[in-house]
Amino acid sequence: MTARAFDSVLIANRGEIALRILRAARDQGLRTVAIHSLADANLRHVQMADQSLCIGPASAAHSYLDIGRILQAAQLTRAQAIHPGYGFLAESAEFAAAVENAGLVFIGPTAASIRLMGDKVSAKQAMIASGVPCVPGSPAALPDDDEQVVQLGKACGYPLIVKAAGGGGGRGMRIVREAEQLLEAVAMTRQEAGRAFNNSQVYLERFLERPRHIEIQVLADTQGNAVWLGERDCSMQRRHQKVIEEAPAPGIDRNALISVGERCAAACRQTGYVGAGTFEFLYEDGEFFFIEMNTRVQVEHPVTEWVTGIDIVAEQLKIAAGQPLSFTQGDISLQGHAIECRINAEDPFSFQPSPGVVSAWIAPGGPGIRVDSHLYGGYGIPPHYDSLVAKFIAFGATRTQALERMRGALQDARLEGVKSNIPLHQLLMLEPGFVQGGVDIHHLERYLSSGRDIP
Amino acid sequence: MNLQTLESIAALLQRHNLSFIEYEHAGVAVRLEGAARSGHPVAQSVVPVSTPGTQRPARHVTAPGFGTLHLTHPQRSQPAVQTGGQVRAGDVVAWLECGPLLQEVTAQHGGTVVAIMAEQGALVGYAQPLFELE
Repeated sequence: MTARAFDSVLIANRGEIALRILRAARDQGLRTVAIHSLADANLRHVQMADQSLCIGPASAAHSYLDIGRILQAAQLTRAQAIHPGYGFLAESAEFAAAVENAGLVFIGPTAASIRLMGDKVSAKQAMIASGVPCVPGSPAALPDDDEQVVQLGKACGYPLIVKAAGGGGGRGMRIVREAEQLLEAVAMTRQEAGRAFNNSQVYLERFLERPRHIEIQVLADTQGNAVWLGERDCSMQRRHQKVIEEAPAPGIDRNALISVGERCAAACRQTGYVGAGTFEFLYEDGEFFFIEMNTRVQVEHPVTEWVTGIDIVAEQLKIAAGQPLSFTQGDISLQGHAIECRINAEDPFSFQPSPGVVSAWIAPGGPGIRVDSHLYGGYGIPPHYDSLVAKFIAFGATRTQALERMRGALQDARLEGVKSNIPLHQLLMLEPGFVQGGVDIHHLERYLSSGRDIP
Repeated sequence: MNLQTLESIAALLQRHNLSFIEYEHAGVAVRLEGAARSGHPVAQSVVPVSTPGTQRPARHVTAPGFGTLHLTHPQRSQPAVQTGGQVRAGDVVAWLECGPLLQEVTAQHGGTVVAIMAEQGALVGYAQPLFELE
């Protein structure tokens, strides 16, 4: 991994995160290069960058996902470093390697780290080796021997899921609640997997009924230092998409979090992880279970920035330039509470995307309110990309104060010309389960399907 | 634009209960607006859209990719086109250098070169207008 000082950053992304990266780079005196698709010529950060270059048509495949075009653009603009943002190529080991091979600095971990964490089986094995608790299950694919399968089921614990190794995204899974049902479930899942994925390998994982999604933010430098920056609770999700995030996680034993956090930092040191990263866990009945690691900066990073005072994107740039972390674990403490609402240009209840021209945009403000958004009055939201247009982050000394400030922010904001999910967030900031805190990852979907309050 | 065409347009307006139709052809444009209550279309204006003396609207030749613009092929001495020159559809009018590749820029339409909109050696972006033709 080449970590060396650079004088310029090419932002290989769009929307709000591109603006976030631009601000961090500019504040450090770095020259900024904004590459964009034809549909994104009017993006806010494109207007602000020192140099911009249209690299292709609207289609992401021929722009933001096109490694060749991005590297050519870096060469033509003489950019020395590339920040991939999140999504697109941020977790492409191929891209990270290509950037390095081109003699440029990739602002993120090594291709090897991305590859290790991208494979769920190898990631889990690496975490087990580092003492990070994982979802209990069979260590590899199930053997053919029924007796061994029964023993593995017992070791895993019930209820469990039989999962196809070649599956994913909810496919090729069968929940088993009683030990007597295991062998039949395994046989059926094997058959279905063989037909659907041409791979009849299956494995077992404990099934968690009502888990919370708790994640740990880490920062690691090229000199072996790694620090964890507290946790985030991202349990308010719909179809695996986060809608609301907060830090810290309400109602979880602090010592348990410290224990998990320190293991994540240790795992970074042991695997040579560099940069910003997030370890995602399911949490149930006082236990944490690792599910995966995200080797990039995340959408919800602002809530951690608020409660720790650390500028994560600024740290990414410094780490990539070879600088050591300017703080130790002892310097980190969580103060107050932060909540983030993802504002999408979509129908608040049907979730249909709502691209179009923003006829009016007035961002909320006041104490403890941060808005990360690329919107401006007259901006045309293109239909080709995801619908996230703004993040409202409210901070308070307590969770209650953060909630009160967020309610005010949602009321103050004006976004017209397109639909947005602001009305949904207004309801959620008053929904008793969320207000109490500590809901599980199915709570939001249960609320939405209950029809309560939904027009 | 003759009376028969106008009547056809008016009939369309009425049949589909449209509030207005704008129709343009060969440098002449007409806008018919439906009178809200009576339903009788009212011709508002017949306006030539191009200035007198020109026959065709201006068109751009845009960059098919991004890269360094070469108005003159690197191995030649004269630029491919000059202002005032004639271009036919399919003619190569410039080149884009992107890494090891030299990509041809071809005119989609023919016409007279009215303006060269980017400089020799400039870094141009995908779809950036390079030439204005008439």
